[in-house]
Amino acid sequence: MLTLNNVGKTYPNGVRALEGATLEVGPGEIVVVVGGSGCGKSTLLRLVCGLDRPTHGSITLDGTPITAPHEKIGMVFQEPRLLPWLSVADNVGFGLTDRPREERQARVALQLERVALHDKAAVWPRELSGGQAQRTALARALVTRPEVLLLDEPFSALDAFTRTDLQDHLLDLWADAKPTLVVVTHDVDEAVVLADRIAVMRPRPGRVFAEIEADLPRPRDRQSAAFDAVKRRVLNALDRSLDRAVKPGHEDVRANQGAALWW
Amino acid sequence: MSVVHVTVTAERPVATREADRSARLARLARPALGLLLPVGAALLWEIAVRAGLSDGRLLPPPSRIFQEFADLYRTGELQRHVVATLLRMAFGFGLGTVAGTLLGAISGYSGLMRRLIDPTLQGLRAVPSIAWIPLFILWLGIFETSKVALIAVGVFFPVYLGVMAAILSVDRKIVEVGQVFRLSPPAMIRRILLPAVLPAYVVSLRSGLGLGWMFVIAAEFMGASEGLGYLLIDGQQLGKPAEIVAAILAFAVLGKITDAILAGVAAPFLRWEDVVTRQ
Repeated sequence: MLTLNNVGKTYPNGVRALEGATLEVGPGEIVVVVGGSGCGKSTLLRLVCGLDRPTHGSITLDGTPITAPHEKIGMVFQEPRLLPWLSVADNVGFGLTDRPREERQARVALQLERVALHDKAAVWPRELSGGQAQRTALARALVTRPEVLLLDEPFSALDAFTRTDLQDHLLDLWADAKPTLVVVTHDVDEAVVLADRIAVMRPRPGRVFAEIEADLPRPRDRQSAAFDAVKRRVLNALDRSLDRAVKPGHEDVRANQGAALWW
Repeated sequence: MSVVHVTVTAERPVATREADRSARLARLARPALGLLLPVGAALLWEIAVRAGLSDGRLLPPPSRIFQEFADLYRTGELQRHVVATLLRMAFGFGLGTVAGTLLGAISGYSGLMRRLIDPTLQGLRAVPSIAWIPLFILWLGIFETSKVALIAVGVFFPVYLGVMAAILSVDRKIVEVGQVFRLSPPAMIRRILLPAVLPAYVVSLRSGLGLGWMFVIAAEFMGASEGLGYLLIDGQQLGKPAEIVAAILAFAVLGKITDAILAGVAAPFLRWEDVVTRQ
């Protein structure tokens, strides 16, 4: 159980990036955090990852406070952040160097197989496409078998086709060991495809504004009416989070525009 | 159907073999193109002197310079001077590189140390290094120590600056990857910082080496009994332009060879670089 209790982050320059954020994520659950820019959703993820420390409140994983990067918590950034001087295989094995060589090689090979990059093991990162690079980053985070995997807008830099492909791919990978996933995104479709639960955040100061259950059967049909219904609830919550209350009768128009996040 | 098949299989190897041959030719032709200008100029000068258009006294033709090289080689003078200069360079370059790398790493890694030592070093860097010669001679004598010290000073600054700047410009995003994987400080240096600064480090070593060659001449001008710089002075005082040009050429060759060695040693470690020149 990952618990955020009244978490706040005020930067030394006085900017309150996050205030009173409270969230509970159960084992194996997929929680997607959405919100407009400046709502502190990336800050939230950096705090959970241990890269930054909260100025208020606490973050605990199974009762253990998180104040620094933790071996059970993995992270995938918006950019692949591969080390350019290591081959794809060595990048994937980066977090396994304390393991015996045979075990490391076996686990790296298996993980590369899982992200369909086994034929790229020996190439440099510069030779990968954007989608391949992000899959390598996913493999690097998953190969250490984290209990919690954090993903900060992992697919936002990819083209639409690659993005949906990787969303499905992520769910496949998740099904292997069912780690807890916390995904930050500004793409509502992505949120509804991935999430068990969607946390909507509001800006200035950032806080969790609403939580929406997405209890749709998997695999999810992006065209189904049920999918649209959840999407509309998220978009509504986003509009309300930005103090743009939707007037009765205009809900559908707003939702179908699907652009609430781009203001 | 079968005809098409046969022609395709028969043509393929020929085409690739031809492509191989032209690729090999291109590889050979590239340095040859660089030789065109100096060799052409030398040939023209040789012809001009032979034709009596000039007596070639102040600028001897290639044949006379070659003769000078042969004479110096036969008497063992060339080897003696080259070895003396190379030894000074090796010690000076080694000393300057070690000091520059250490101090550059310290002030790149620690903000406190940077504020403490960098202003002083930048102040010293502003002194033209030749200005140290009188002091070094007073402190270290006129023999090898003062010469090595001068070369080391010349090598030190580009290496120091290069290492410090390289460390300061390491991408925070890559460092965060190391943090997520909970690298200890030594592991962070070995696995993230060192590889990240390596390309810039090699460049700073090469510019340090270039400055080292400048300073070795300055050092040998300040009273040496052997070395290529001594050969230059000797040629000037005895009015032997062929000896001067021979020494200059020797410098050019040594400088180019040492730089190529440095670049060649570094190249296998930098194959990962995503650069324009790699096609």
